[in-house]
Amino acid sequence: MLLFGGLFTAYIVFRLKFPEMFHKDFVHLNRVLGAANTVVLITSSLTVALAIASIRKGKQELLKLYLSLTILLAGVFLAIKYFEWTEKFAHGLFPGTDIFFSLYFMMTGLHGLHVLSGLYWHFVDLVWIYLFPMLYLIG
Amino acid sequence: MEKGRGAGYGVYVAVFAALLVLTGATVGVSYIDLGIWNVAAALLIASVKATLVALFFMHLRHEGRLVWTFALVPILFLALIIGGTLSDTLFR
Repeated sequence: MLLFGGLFTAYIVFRLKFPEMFHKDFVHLNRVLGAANTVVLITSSLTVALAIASIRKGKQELLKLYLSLTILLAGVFLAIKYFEWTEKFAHGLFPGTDIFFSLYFMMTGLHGLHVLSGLYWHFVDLVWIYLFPMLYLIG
Repeated sequence: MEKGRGAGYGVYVAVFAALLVLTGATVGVSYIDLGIWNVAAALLIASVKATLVALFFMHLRHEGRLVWTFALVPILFLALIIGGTLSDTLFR
Protein backbone atom coordinates (compact mmCIF):
# COMPACT_ATOMS: atom_id res chain seq x y z
CA MET A 1 0.00 0.00 0.00
CA LEU A 2 2.76 2.43 0.93
CA LEU A 3 4.95 1.43 -1.99
CA PHE A 4 2.21 1.62 -4.59
CA GLY A 5 0.57 4.58 -2.81
CA GLY A 6 3.69 6.66 -3.38
CA LEU A 7 3.75 5.72 -7.07
CA PHE A 8 0.03 6.47 -7.44
CA THR A 9 0.66 9.88 -5.90
CA ALA A 10 3.57 10.52 -8.27
CA TYR A 11 1.38 9.47 -11.19
CA ILE A 12 -1.35 11.97 -10.23
CA VAL A 13 1.10 14.82 -9.64
CA PHE A 14 2.89 14.35 -12.97
CA ARG A 15 -0.28 13.67 -14.90
CA LEU A 16 -1.65 17.03 -13.74
CA LYS A 17 1.65 18.72 -14.49
CA PHE A 18 2.31 17.19 -17.93
CA PRO A 19 -1.07 16.18 -19.41
CA GLU A 20 0.26 16.37 -23.01
CA MET A 21 3.07 13.91 -22.27
CA PHE A 22 0.64 11.38 -20.79
CA HIS A 23 -1.68 11.81 -23.75
CA LYS A 24 1.11 11.39 -26.30
CA ASP A 25 2.60 8.34 -24.56
CA PHE A 26 -0.37 6.27 -23.47
CA VAL A 27 -1.28 5.47 -27.10
CA HIS A 28 1.93 3.36 -27.25
CA LEU A 29 0.45 0.93 -24.75
CA ASN A 30 -1.48 -2.02 -26.10
CA ARG A 31 -5.02 -1.80 -24.75
CA VAL A 32 -5.92 -5.31 -25.90
CA LEU A 33 -2.93 -6.91 -24.14
CA GLY A 34 -3.67 -4.86 -21.02
CA ALA A 35 -7.29 -6.01 -21.09
CA ALA A 36 -6.20 -9.61 -21.69
CA ASN A 37 -3.94 -9.44 -18.64
CA THR A 38 -6.80 -7.97 -16.61
CA VAL A 39 -8.93 -10.99 -17.50
CA VAL A 40 -6.02 -13.31 -16.63
CA LEU A 41 -5.60 -11.75 -13.18
CA ILE A 42 -9.34 -11.68 -12.44
CA THR A 43 -9.51 -15.35 -13.38
CA SER A 44 -6.57 -16.12 -11.11
CA SER A 45 -8.32 -14.30 -8.29
CA LEU A 46 -11.34 -16.52 -8.92
CA THR A 47 -9.23 -19.69 -8.81
CA VAL A 48 -7.70 -18.60 -5.48
CA ALA A 49 -11.17 -17.97 -4.05
CA LEU A 50 -12.33 -21.36 -5.35
CA ALA A 51 -9.21 -23.03 -3.92
CA ILE A 52 -10.02 -21.64 -0.47
CA ALA A 53 -13.66 -22.69 -0.80
CA SER A 54 -12.50 -26.20 -1.79
CA ILE A 55 -10.22 -26.71 1.18
CA ARG A 56 -12.92 -25.47 3.54
CA LYS A 57 -15.06 -28.28 2.21
CA GLY A 58 -12.11 -30.65 2.67
CA LYS A 59 -11.58 -31.29 -1.03
CA GLN A 60 -7.82 -31.46 -1.28
CA GLU A 61 -7.65 -32.57 -4.90
CA LEU A 62 -9.70 -29.56 -6.02
CA LEU A 63 -7.46 -27.29 -3.95
CA LYS A 64 -4.41 -28.60 -5.83
CA LEU A 65 -6.15 -28.15 -9.16
CA TYR A 66 -7.20 -24.55 -8.46
CA LEU A 67 -3.80 -23.57 -7.07
CA SER A 68 -2.04 -25.09 -10.09
CA LEU A 69 -4.38 -23.10 -12.34
CA THR A 70 -3.54 -19.95 -10.37
CA ILE A 71 0.20 -20.47 -10.84
CA LEU A 72 -0.36 -21.17 -14.53
CA LEU A 73 -2.33 -17.91 -14.87
CA ALA A 74 0.42 -16.01 -13.06
CA GLY A 75 2.81 -17.41 -15.67
CA VAL A 76 0.55 -16.25 -18.49
CA PHE A 77 0.34 -12.77 -16.95
CA LEU A 78 4.12 -12.48 -16.69
CA ALA A 79 4.60 -13.84 -20.22
CA ILE A 80 2.29 -11.16 -21.65
CA LYS A 81 4.05 -8.52 -19.54
CA TYR A 82 7.43 -9.73 -20.82
CA PHE A 83 6.16 -9.54 -24.41
CA GLU A 84 4.88 -5.98 -23.85
CA TRP A 85 8.14 -4.80 -22.30
CA THR A 86 10.34 -6.26 -25.04
CA GLU A 87 8.06 -4.63 -27.63
CA LYS A 88 8.47 -1.27 -25.87
CA PHE A 89 12.26 -1.70 -25.81
CA ALA A 90 12.23 -2.58 -29.52
CA HIS A 91 10.46 0.72 -30.18
CA GLY A 92 13.08 2.60 -28.18
CA LEU A 93 10.82 3.20 -25.18
CA PHE A 94 12.76 2.76 -21.96
CA PRO A 95 12.32 3.68 -18.29
CA GLY A 96 14.53 6.70 -19.01
CA THR A 97 12.49 7.89 -22.00
CA ASP A 98 10.32 10.30 -20.00
CA ILE A 99 8.31 10.51 -16.80
CA PHE A 100 5.35 8.55 -18.19
CA PHE A 101 7.50 5.59 -19.14
CA SER A 102 9.45 5.81 -15.88
CA LEU A 103 6.13 5.44 -14.07
CA TYR A 104 4.91 2.76 -16.47
CA PHE A 105 7.98 0.54 -16.04
CA MET A 106 8.24 1.19 -12.31
CA MET A 107 4.58 0.49 -11.59
CA THR A 108 4.19 -2.54 -13.85
CA GLY A 109 7.62 -3.82 -12.80
CA LEU A 110 6.87 -3.57 -9.09
CA HIS A 111 3.49 -5.16 -9.71
CA GLY A 112 5.10 -7.94 -11.75
CA LEU A 113 7.51 -8.65 -8.90
CA HIS A 114 4.54 -9.07 -6.58
CA VAL A 115 2.93 -11.47 -9.06
CA LEU A 116 6.20 -13.41 -9.27
CA SER A 117 6.59 -13.62 -5.50
CA GLY A 118 2.97 -14.71 -5.09
CA LEU A 119 2.41 -12.27 -2.24
CA TYR A 120 -1.14 -11.89 -1.06
CA TRP A 121 -2.89 -12.73 -4.28
CA HIS A 122 -6.05 -10.62 -4.29
CA PHE A 123 -4.00 -7.53 -3.47
CA VAL A 124 -2.08 -8.00 -6.70
CA ASP A 125 -5.44 -8.10 -8.47
CA LEU A 126 -6.64 -4.94 -6.69
CA VAL A 127 -3.55 -2.98 -7.71
CA TRP A 128 -3.85 -4.10 -11.32
CA ILE A 129 -7.55 -3.12 -11.38
CA TYR A 130 -6.36 0.48 -10.94
CA LEU A 131 -3.11 0.29 -12.93
CA PHE A 132 -4.83 -0.94 -16.08
CA PRO A 133 -7.17 2.07 -16.60
CA MET A 134 -4.60 4.57 -15.29
CA LEU A 135 -1.88 3.53 -17.74
CA TYR A 136 -3.69 1.96 -20.69
CA LEU A 137 -7.10 3.56 -20.89
CA ILE A 138 -7.03 7.22 -19.93
CA GLY A 139 -4.72 9.69 -21.51
CA MET B 1 -25.16 -25.03 1.40
CA GLU B 2 -23.14 -23.99 4.40
CA LYS B 3 -23.70 -20.65 6.02
CA GLY B 4 -21.24 -17.80 6.35
CA ARG B 5 -17.67 -18.32 5.26
CA GLY B 6 -18.24 -21.48 3.29
CA ALA B 7 -19.98 -19.61 0.47
CA GLY B 8 -20.85 -21.69 -2.57
CA TYR B 9 -18.80 -21.67 -5.73
CA GLY B 10 -21.74 -19.99 -7.51
CA VAL B 11 -21.22 -16.66 -5.74
CA TYR B 12 -17.58 -16.55 -6.84
CA VAL B 13 -18.45 -17.36 -10.43
CA ALA B 14 -21.16 -14.65 -10.43
CA VAL B 15 -18.68 -12.07 -9.07
CA PHE B 16 -16.15 -13.22 -11.67
CA ALA B 17 -18.73 -12.70 -14.45
CA ALA B 18 -19.52 -9.22 -13.12
CA LEU B 19 -15.78 -8.38 -13.11
CA LEU B 20 -15.48 -9.51 -16.73
CA VAL B 21 -18.47 -7.38 -17.77
CA LEU B 22 -17.01 -4.35 -15.97
CA THR B 23 -13.63 -4.90 -17.64
CA GLY B 24 -15.38 -4.96 -21.02
CA ALA B 25 -17.28 -1.80 -20.07
CA THR B 26 -14.18 0.14 -19.04
CA VAL B 27 -12.34 -0.84 -22.25
CA GLY B 28 -15.41 0.02 -24.34
CA VAL B 29 -15.85 3.44 -22.71
CA SER B 30 -12.16 4.22 -23.29
CA TYR B 31 -12.78 4.24 -27.06
CA ILE B 32 -15.41 6.99 -26.71
CA ASP B 33 -14.08 10.51 -26.20
CA LEU B 34 -15.82 11.92 -23.14
CA GLY B 35 -13.09 14.38 -22.14
CA ILE B 36 -12.55 14.48 -18.39
CA TRP B 37 -15.43 12.02 -17.91
CA ASN B 38 -13.25 9.23 -19.32
CA VAL B 39 -11.12 9.54 -16.20
CA ALA B 40 -14.17 9.61 -13.94
CA ALA B 41 -15.73 6.56 -15.65
CA ALA B 42 -12.47 4.56 -15.53
CA LEU B 43 -11.91 5.28 -11.84
CA LEU B 44 -15.55 4.62 -10.95
CA ILE B 45 -15.56 1.24 -12.72
CA ALA B 46 -12.18 0.33 -11.18
CA SER B 47 -13.53 1.16 -7.74
CA VAL B 48 -16.65 -0.97 -8.26
CA LYS B 49 -14.38 -3.86 -9.35
CA ALA B 50 -12.06 -3.36 -6.38
CA THR B 51 -15.05 -3.34 -4.04
CA LEU B 52 -16.35 -6.61 -5.52
CA VAL B 53 -12.93 -8.27 -5.11
CA ALA B 54 -12.61 -7.04 -1.53
CA LEU B 55 -16.15 -7.97 -0.46
CA PHE B 56 -16.38 -11.39 -2.08
CA PHE B 57 -12.95 -12.80 -3.04
CA MET B 58 -11.31 -11.35 0.07
CA HIS B 59 -14.39 -12.16 2.19
CA LEU B 60 -14.57 -8.67 3.67
CA ARG B 61 -18.35 -8.92 3.89
CA HIS B 62 -17.99 -11.64 6.53
CA GLU B 63 -15.39 -9.80 8.57
CA GLY B 64 -15.87 -7.84 11.76
CA ARG B 65 -15.25 -4.21 12.54
CA LEU B 66 -11.53 -4.68 13.23
CA VAL B 67 -10.75 -6.08 9.77
CA TRP B 68 -12.89 -3.41 8.13
CA THR B 69 -10.89 -0.78 10.00
CA PHE B 70 -7.62 -2.29 8.83
CA ALA B 71 -8.97 -2.33 5.27
CA LEU B 72 -10.33 1.20 5.19
CA VAL B 73 -7.86 3.26 7.24
CA PRO B 74 -5.00 2.78 4.73
CA ILE B 75 -7.30 4.11 1.98
CA LEU B 76 -7.95 7.17 4.14
CA PHE B 77 -4.19 7.62 4.60
CA LEU B 78 -3.59 7.31 0.87
CA ALA B 79 -6.23 10.00 0.28
CA LEU B 80 -4.47 12.19 2.86
CA ILE B 81 -1.08 11.64 1.21
CA ILE B 82 -2.45 12.45 -2.25
CA GLY B 83 -4.44 15.44 -0.98
CA GLY B 84 -1.52 16.77 1.01
CA THR B 85 0.90 16.39 -1.90
CA LEU B 86 -1.46 18.07 -4.35
CA SER B 87 -2.12 20.96 -1.97
CA ASP B 88 1.58 21.68 -2.41
CA THR B 89 2.34 20.81 -6.05
CA LEU B 90 -0.82 22.39 -7.51
CA PHE B 91 -0.19 25.80 -5.96
CA ARG B 92 3.48 26.42 -6.60
